[in-house]
Amino acid sequence: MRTRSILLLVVLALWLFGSERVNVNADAPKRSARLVSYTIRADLDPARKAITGDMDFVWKNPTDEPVDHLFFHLYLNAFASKDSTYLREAAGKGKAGSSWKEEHAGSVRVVSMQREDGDELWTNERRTFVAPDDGNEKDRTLARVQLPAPVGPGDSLSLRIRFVSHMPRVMHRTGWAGNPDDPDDMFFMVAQWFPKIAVVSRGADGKPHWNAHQFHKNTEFFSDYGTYLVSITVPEGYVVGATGKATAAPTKVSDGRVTWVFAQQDVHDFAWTASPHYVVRDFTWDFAGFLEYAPPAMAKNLAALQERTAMHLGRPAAEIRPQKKVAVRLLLQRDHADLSERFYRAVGASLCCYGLWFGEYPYDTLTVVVPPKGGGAAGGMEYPTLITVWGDRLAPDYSTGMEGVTIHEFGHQYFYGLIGTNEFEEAWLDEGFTSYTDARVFEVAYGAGSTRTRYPPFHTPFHRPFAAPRVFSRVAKVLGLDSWLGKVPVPWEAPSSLAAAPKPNPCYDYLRELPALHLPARVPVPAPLSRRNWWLGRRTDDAMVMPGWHFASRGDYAVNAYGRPTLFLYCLRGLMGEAAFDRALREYATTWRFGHPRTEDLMTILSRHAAGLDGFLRSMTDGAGRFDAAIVAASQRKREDGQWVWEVRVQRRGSVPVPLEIEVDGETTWRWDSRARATTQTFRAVRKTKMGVVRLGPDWMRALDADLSNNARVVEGPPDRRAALALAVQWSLFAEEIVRSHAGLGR
Amino acid sequence: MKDALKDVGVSLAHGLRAPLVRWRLVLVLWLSRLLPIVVVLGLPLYQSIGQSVGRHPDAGHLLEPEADSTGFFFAWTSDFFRDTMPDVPDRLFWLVVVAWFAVVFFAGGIVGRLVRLSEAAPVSDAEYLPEHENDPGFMMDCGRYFGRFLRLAVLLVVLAHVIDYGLNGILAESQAKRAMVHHTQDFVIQKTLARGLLSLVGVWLLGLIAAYTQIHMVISDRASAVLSFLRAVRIVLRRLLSVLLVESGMLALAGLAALAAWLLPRAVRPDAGSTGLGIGLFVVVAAVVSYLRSGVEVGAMEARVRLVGSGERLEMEQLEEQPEELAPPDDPEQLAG
Repeated sequence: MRTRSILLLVVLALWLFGSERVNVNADAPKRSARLVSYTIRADLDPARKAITGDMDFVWKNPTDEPVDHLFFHLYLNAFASKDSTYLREAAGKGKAGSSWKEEHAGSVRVVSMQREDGDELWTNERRTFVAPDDGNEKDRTLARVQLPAPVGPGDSLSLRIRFVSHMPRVMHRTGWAGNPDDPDDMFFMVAQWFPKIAVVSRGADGKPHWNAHQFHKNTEFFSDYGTYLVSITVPEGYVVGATGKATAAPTKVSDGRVTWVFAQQDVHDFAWTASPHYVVRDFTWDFAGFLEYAPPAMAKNLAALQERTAMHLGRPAAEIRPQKKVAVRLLLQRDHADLSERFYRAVGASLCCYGLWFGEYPYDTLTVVVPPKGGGAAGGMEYPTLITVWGDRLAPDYSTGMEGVTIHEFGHQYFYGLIGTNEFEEAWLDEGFTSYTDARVFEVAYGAGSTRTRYPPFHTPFHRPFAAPRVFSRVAKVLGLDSWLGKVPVPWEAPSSLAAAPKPNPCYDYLRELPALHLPARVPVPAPLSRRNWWLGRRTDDAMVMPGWHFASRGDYAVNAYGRPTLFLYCLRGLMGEAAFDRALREYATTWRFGHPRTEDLMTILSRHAAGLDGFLRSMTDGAGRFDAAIVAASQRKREDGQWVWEVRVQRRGSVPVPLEIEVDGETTWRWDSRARATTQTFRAVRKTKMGVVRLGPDWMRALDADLSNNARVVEGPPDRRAALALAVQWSLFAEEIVRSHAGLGR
Repeated sequence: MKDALKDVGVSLAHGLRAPLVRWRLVLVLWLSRLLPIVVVLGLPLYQSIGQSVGRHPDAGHLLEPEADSTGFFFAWTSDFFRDTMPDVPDRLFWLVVVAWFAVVFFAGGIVGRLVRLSEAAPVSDAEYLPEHENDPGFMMDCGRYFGRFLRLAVLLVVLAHVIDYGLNGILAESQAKRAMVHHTQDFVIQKTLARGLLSLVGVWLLGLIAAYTQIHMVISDRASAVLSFLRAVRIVLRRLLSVLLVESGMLALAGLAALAAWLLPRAVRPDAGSTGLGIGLFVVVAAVVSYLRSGVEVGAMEARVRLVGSGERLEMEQLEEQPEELAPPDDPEQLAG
């Protein structure tokens, strides 16, 4: 009896123990295929801005055929010459007002690449630089290495690679900033810094197919998952942050030098940063603890999200709640030390939301880097377990830009990091998914939408008294000299890095954003509508799914990679229904964790969760994606029997099949199926009452609709011009202010 | 000193009364600025907005955008200025150009009239002459001084751009390079604010000297913009305290007018439930405040004229007679002779 009781207790304890250890990633793979292994010993010389690297590299052939050559990314060479594909695409210009200069060029030079038997592969006979994307013979960002003997299916190849990387002055993503004459006053963001192998997979013909691209202005990521063990030697006093977990405390290796060691499995890249100026803030995140830490409104929303998501996924809330603890390290500048809580709240909310929706974050660490003022061009980037964001201590209190970029870059830990899509060829699968999901996180954490004070299409640069270049440029345009003048450098253009936003202050509001004087300030902007305006304003008819470098401009790329996919997914959620949509995305995220999905893979999953989506999906991804629903006419007449005959004529313009609901006085009266071929249809009904207001729905359609002014109509009575009068007067006052300020020099 | 303070007091008194007493001049300035705006921007906007949302049930959101959580205001405004009125920035630009010429044109009439009134009723004279007396023709003055004021205006624009180029071009560029080596925003904040302050002070001083240049041009009947400008600098420097006191007083008045322009229309700003009467009240208040701000501009000019009109007129005349500053004759016949 006693033995039985003990057994029962043991079984009960095991059951209870088991229930506490719910595997929230039960439907996701536990680990990646680990096709690559990089063991790198890196030595940073701040004075030379150089990293000497010694790398043991192992690669496994994942295909069913022998592979007789390899492709290596040498992406730091994008900054080596103005003739690189990247600098040609960027016209020599970087982010935050920076530009490329030869004296601050960057490069990666492979010193040797030897097999285990000492056979040298990095010879002129075996190594060639290739440019499959644009045929640019001067681009050195992609190298093809011919192997003396093929690597068999499933076999591994070990190489020892020695290289020297010279970091560029940061103009985009990677490089150094600070005082070049003082090695103790430097900031390094070290990304794309070592020779990295491209991705090979089984092609449609059954043969190995290399997916290798040059470094581009818009796109740079696609690699295989594996293991990284990286030791980084830096001057004493430098703080190092990197992908992965520090395996031990930094150890002193020589006079004034210390080595930091980081390790991480199941990631597809490795980046690090070093600077003696970092202010370090450490947090330990876990779901329950964060709910206690977060502001009440945020905590309440996160708790509600847990319940709602569990309901949508059809699983108990406890089962989807992330269990893991994550060590969050913020590497801040002195300027931003007071902002650490804001950054952490954004990261914490992201860990909660993404964990609930797509399975928990599987890594032990997350490092958030805020670059210094001079290194702003390194901000806003994603690397496995490390993100770079922006900090601005001058940002107005209503501004949530810092939180926005933090949430977005964290989102890439999933859509780029865990789901390794091909950014080169299908950027929307990472940038678009991240943009859509970051808006949802933002809504949960901070409320629906942001606020804006700037008025499209104006922004008067009134921190300067006359906006002189604008006057000059207008006059030049009138005289037809604009194209000629466009070639002349304009030293009066204040660098954007200096256009700091002042603290909230009515005087600055007046000087900086003049419309605030007569036009309403701080207008709320629901997230989908801000993306909608961006998309509509761009007027591009490109397909959404295209290689990044095929877009005519950065603007066209950006709106198709970020803005349009956000609208697409927002509307898709409305079309499918929230529950089906959440289930589909959960399946996509877990099925393809540590994988390389394509657009078709996503579409297959979506179609499994909702029928009849084909037309919508195709029109949004491959077509121009334009849509406008309009009430063309609405009238009514009284019959002899006293009943009213309603008549509403509706038009559906564009190529996107959206099912419409026609509401009269708040009640859905008619539905117009999306399969209908006609573009115009008249709806009639007989009712006892008069028709007041006609409105088109569903509500989510507004995010895609090109013209919101024709979506609703008051059926009877003369047009109400009160709003028109008030708005015209407000804009006239605004114009008077512009005229008064600018024309003052006439006297 | 006592006389100087008395001059300042009288000048300010004239300046303060001008918006009411010189209502014709104020009206000209006000209408010259407002009419083009109404014709080129206000009426087309009214028509287009009326057509766009005259029958839309959500049009009320456009009148209370801060509380519009639907985003209708944001989305509609973007659509409207992108699709329906995409040329508003162009219209604004040309309105500025037209207003610039209008200000130059009417400045001749306004300054000419104020100078003549000042001559007819010196500052010590307690009697305040009505405008219609001693009036040689407002439009004649406008035409007479247009050419020389235009030259002055062009000179001012050039000088303004020199200030802008120096501070926001060369200096900003140099600071930008230095900022790149800094790890904090301190450097940027301080330098940017300093540059902004210098820009504003520079523009203010430029406008101040320009006003005295115009007065000098009318009193001395000189046409050289450069020489008149230099003499105005000298006049300002000689009576710096008086000038600064008068300008500070009028600047304070302008500040109050700007505050009124900010607060009053906001106080009566219509919302979604406004009646036609409420919107009419808003229009009237906005117009009155706008008129008052033009009145302050005329007042500032009158204060300057009164300040210069007493002792400085004599001094200007003396300066005119000084042989060391030989200005080139403006009369082509004299040149030919």
